[in-house]
Amino acid sequence: MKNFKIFKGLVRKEFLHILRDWRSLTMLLGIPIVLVLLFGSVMTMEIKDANIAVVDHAKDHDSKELINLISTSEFFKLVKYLDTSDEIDEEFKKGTIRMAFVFDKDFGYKLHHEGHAQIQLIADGSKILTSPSLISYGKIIINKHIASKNPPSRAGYYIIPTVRMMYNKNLNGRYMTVPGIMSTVILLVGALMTSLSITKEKELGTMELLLSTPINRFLIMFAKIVPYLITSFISALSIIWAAKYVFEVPVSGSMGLLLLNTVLYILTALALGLLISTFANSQLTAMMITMTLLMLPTEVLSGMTFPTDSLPVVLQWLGKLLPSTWFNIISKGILLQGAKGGSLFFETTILVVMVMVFYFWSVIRFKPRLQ
Amino acid sequence: MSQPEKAYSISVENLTKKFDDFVAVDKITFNVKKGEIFGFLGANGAGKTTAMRMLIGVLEPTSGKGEVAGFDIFKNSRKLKKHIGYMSQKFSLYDDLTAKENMRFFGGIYGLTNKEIRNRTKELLTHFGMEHIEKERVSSLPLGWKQKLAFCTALMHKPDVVFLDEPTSGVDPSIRRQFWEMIYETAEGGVTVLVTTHNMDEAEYCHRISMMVAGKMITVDTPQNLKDKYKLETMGEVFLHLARGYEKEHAITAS
Repeated sequence: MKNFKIFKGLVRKEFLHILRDWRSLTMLLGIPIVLVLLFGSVMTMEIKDANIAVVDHAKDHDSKELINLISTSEFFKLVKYLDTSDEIDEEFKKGTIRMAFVFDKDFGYKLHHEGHAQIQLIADGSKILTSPSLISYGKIIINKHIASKNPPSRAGYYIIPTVRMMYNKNLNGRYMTVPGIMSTVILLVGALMTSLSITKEKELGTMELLLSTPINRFLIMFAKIVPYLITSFISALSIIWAAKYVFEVPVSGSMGLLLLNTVLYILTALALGLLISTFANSQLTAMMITMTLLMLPTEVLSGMTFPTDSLPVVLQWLGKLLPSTWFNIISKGILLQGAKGGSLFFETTILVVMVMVFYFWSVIRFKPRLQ
Repeated sequence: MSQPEKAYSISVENLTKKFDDFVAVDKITFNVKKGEIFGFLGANGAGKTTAMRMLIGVLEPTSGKGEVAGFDIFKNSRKLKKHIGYMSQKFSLYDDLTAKENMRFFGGIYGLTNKEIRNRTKELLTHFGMEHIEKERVSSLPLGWKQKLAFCTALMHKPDVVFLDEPTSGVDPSIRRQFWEMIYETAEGGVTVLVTTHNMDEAEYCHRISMMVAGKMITVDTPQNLKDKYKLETMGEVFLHLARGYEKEHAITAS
């Protein structure tokens, strides 16, 4: 009871710090949402009337029918007929087209006699955010066309669209980025907040004064978590709101489950910040450690921008040490795949273990005495 | 207070602190009576702050014995901390909180009830004529007032011993005088005061002083006795005389 009162006093003091320091308040509440809006709007460019070229080796009825369908759709605008596939590269480089369709020589013949024919869809893989959408729009038109030709009763002919990405072979899906940014931002801001708030007290000398009082070190550490959990949660809510309503990322799974896991993830970030503060004696050091340890690794190793299965095994294992790797799986699972709590049990457990390890490790390292 | 009545508030025997090979505090021995104002005098780097940090339980001593307010500094540092107040060399209250909020916070940490905190805050601020700064943010106060406030905060939980580490460095003379009046009033109330300084005028105000040179305590006595002994006018001269003598003696033995 007495400890609870002391704890309340500590938390009240932390809140006063936060409320009176408009810079950290802005950082806590403003920057995350601004970052997500920024990254998100780069990502969700509307695709309409994308310029395309067609290489029609067949020049038969079937190819013309499909080309007509493609060029009259709202997504594509046919700007050029090319004679050979070799010319495509040049058009891409000039920037006149964003995508090309290549029809096989015997397109119609193969379709009717062999039951399948090929169209090649070529897009610019370096335009990582739009090309996948272009490809999928192209596929949709082709598949619709096939479906309209095939009565459902008989297995008829079909077209196999083969897809080739130029310049960048591994692509991420369209909605991968918002959950990815969300996990990076929450982790960075959370870890920075707690690590800076403790190292600040070391710099000012108030930590020495705190250590000269009979206060329990568990309480000092725990009191640093509570206020930032609340502010980080508000900031996470604004990010989720932006994801859902501004970027229309589908929320296929349970929102409650997502929020619960977000709280857990915020706790992981804050506890990690505590741990960092036990290794740093100044705010500058704390910031350097947090940035080096989390910023680049989170972007590269946690599957946010690059698929992790193409990384060397050692880096994959390093990635597994990052909390964001697991939260990426959880948030993408819930948002995009509608995953239930049960199927995410493993990832959630890992986050729980991480919180415990970070917290207790930092309490052990946080010495009640100076050295 | 609940601790048994002891002859001494602080008693230290051969207390030593080593940082790797460097001996910061070298076998110091002294006793301080209840209600006494005891000064640690010495140049910067003489080991005053290190000695004080061991006595308040934030720094682990390497060897020796020590008891503060009836508690062993090795075994009972947690209990000891309840009975002492500390004012560090660097001003260290929270700048973004008001005077009252700082006092409330530290009172709370020592487990005082809200009522006790209210009464004690009012009592201290009124007693030392500081009521008007109650609602001021600490950052807006002049240094002298900050130091007086830090002293009040260190007294919130009615400690038996207060440790003041260079409390008046950088403070102008009139406020310094007021500060020493605060120290006297506190000591008269039965609180033991241990204060470090490198200001020789201030040394005259202490009941007894100890001089530290290079981690060693070279003398412990009242200012008057020291001046009589060496037939010198001021404490400054006494200090120079003793420090030079010590260094000379050491230079000879070392060569």
